Amino acid sequence: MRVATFVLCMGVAGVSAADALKAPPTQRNFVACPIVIDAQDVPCWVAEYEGERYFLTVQTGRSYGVTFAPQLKHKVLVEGTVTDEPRICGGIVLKDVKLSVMEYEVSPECNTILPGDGYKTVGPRPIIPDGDPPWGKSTAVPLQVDPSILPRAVQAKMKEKAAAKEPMEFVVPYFFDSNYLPFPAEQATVDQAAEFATMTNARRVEVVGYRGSVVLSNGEIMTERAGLAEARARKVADILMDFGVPESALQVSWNEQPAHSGGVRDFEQRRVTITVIP
Amino acid sequence: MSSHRSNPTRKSVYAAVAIASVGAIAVAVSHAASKPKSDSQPLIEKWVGPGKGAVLPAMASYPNAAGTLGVVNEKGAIDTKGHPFFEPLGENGRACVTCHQPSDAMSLSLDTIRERWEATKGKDPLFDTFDGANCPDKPRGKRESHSLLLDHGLIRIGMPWPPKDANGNPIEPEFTLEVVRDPTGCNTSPKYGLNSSNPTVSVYRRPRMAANLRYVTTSFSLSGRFNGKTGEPLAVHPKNGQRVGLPIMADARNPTLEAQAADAARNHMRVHAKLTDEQIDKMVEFESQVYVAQDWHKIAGSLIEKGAPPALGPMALVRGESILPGNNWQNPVFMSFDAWKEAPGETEEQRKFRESVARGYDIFFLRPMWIRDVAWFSSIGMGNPYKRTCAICHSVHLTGNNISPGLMDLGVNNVDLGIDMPDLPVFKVTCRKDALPHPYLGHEFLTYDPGRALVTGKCIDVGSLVMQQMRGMSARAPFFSNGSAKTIREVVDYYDTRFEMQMTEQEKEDLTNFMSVL
Repeated sequence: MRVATFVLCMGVAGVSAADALKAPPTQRNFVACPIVIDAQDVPCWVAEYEGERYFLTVQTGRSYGVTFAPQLKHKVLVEGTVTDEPRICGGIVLKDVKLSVMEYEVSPECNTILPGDGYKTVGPRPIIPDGDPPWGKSTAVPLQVDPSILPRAVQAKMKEKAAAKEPMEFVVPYFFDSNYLPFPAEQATVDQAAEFATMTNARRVEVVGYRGSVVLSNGEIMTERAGLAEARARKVADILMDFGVPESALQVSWNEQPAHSGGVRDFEQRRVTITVIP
Repeated sequence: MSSHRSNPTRKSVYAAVAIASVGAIAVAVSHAASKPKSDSQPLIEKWVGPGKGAVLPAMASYPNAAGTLGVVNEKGAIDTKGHPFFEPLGENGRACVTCHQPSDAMSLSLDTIRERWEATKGKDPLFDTFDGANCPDKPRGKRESHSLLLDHGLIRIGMPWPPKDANGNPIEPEFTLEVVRDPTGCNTSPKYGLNSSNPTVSVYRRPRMAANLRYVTTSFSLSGRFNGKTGEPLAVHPKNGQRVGLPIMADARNPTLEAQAADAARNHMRVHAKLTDEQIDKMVEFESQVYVAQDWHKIAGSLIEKGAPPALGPMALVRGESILPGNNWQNPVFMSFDAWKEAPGETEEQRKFRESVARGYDIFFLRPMWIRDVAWFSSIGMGNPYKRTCAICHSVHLTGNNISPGLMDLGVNNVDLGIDMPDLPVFKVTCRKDALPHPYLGHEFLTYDPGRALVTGKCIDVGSLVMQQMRGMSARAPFFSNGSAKTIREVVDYYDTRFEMQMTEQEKEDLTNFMSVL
């Protein structure tokens, strides 16, 4: 495994004042305690920022296309774009919302469960077992998932690329300040990259880790902890080797310079890219 | 609930053999469908002693306080003579069967431990001081030396500190351990303790069931080559190259039954030579074909008669499919108990009990609660809290364990969240500031048993253990890995408190009755 570093920084996650930079007014990037509401038919999650309530997600479970739910006892970083859709659970609906649990700090004060208050929400899983019960239909609703992210579509693309001996890039996104590969999508991406590398007997597999920062709505910039770009890259490389990618084909590097996108879709900066070259 | 799908895909020579309903009995009743080719005598004793050379019948029922436990050897009667599962292979005279008794659902109940103590005056190999005493330096035969075994059914597990990886290399742990209470004296012992020349953490755990293992070791493979929870690669089985989950042992320190057998031989039977492949294969073959479940209840009567709920009795497990998720209406975890709602019994007492069991299953399957602060469940995207029923975790069809993998921290090891266990040591865990903390306990907290973290060295794993199956519970009290729930009712009470279920007294009784017939 060849290892190259681009930029090495030391330190931990932190917050600094943005230099004349602010997220656009339609963007809401903030850190707050999540609140769960015991709505009918499944609970919903909201958070409050500057006196306004924002809807985050409903209780989901884990599947392709779901938004991972927050956790009481932890604050959550919310990144999303304000919409004019009808409020859910009393909260403004955010488009493309990304939620990151602040895992390094336990926050006992984040411990609010509110009564349903007449709110009704539906989600991909009911609160009783899955499927239609004997007395009627399940309250669950199908997920609207971008079909291009589903394994079947990716497999088809992999076959095309392999036949043409073309490189293929796989992008692994991350929660803020996290090196966790969740089930199913992020794990599947690494699995697929390994599969593509072995099926094409890849000459080279380039793994590049990045860390990001977020321009918060209050003008501050929140940066992921230093060393995370390297940790992400090394972890993905180790998994690829475990899955059969030869060490000699791996080229691993990282960029510790934290990047953001001016407060809009900053989450895209925290990633690992895997480029498989047949 | 009314719908269920039975899956009689597995054929067995015993499929047509029904176990007769029996009354209160003092010894096991053999239901052998075929005589073994041996001159050994059929086993009728409840206690199966190492090296006795008896025959384990193809089908037998063993008494317990609630009724009888049915035990089925799928491959027919087992001649234990010379069988490595039943022979004492090491220096202390124990065999695997010492701690995995058929009568005790292939675990070891506190009642049985006490019976052996009385019957042998503490001389049974079970009471080897190496792990059958509170610490190896305790004098053998004195009751106080064996108090954790005799009072709570706990065996000492000595784990190296710092942890070692699969190749024996030390792992730098993310946390320090400080012994803040040591009633056994073992963790502060100059010879066996944390600061000895061979630093060891002694924790105390219950022997696990070595039965129905087809349901335990089969992986759902939802996440391919990944551990779907941790996001790390699953281990590879050295023999068949398949990825394996973490379903075996409390801390999943051995990924396969083969590795577990070798570990147990070294550390519980004190076998100094390496077991042969043939010995290990025979051990695994035996424990992979034995099925257990309660088959008769003193009030409910026969659990396996025609018309009884189809998940009951060991034959349901012999016939069942082992790769079915059960938190759904297609393959409900324990199928349907409607039979006991509609035609519940002959006597008033029996009718009431059976109806209570059926209501208990509805509570298990249908009653939502706020599941919260459970590391490796709440922390992996489900959300904390997550409002669902018991069946979300106890989801494997027919056994109610979890193999996705089933590692999580329910809280029983935690001093604040667990049942008070003054006889156990208490460790203060202090996590490095740059390490991911335990998701709900933080960087500094007290635990009876660091659990999985004694294997991985990770703070996030402290307290996590592999959850167990729910069969044969009437035969193997006490419960939880540290024996802190003395009865099934105490298990129910724990969940009621832990997740603020606010069950009524009747609901608690119903849930207890339901679990007692599994």
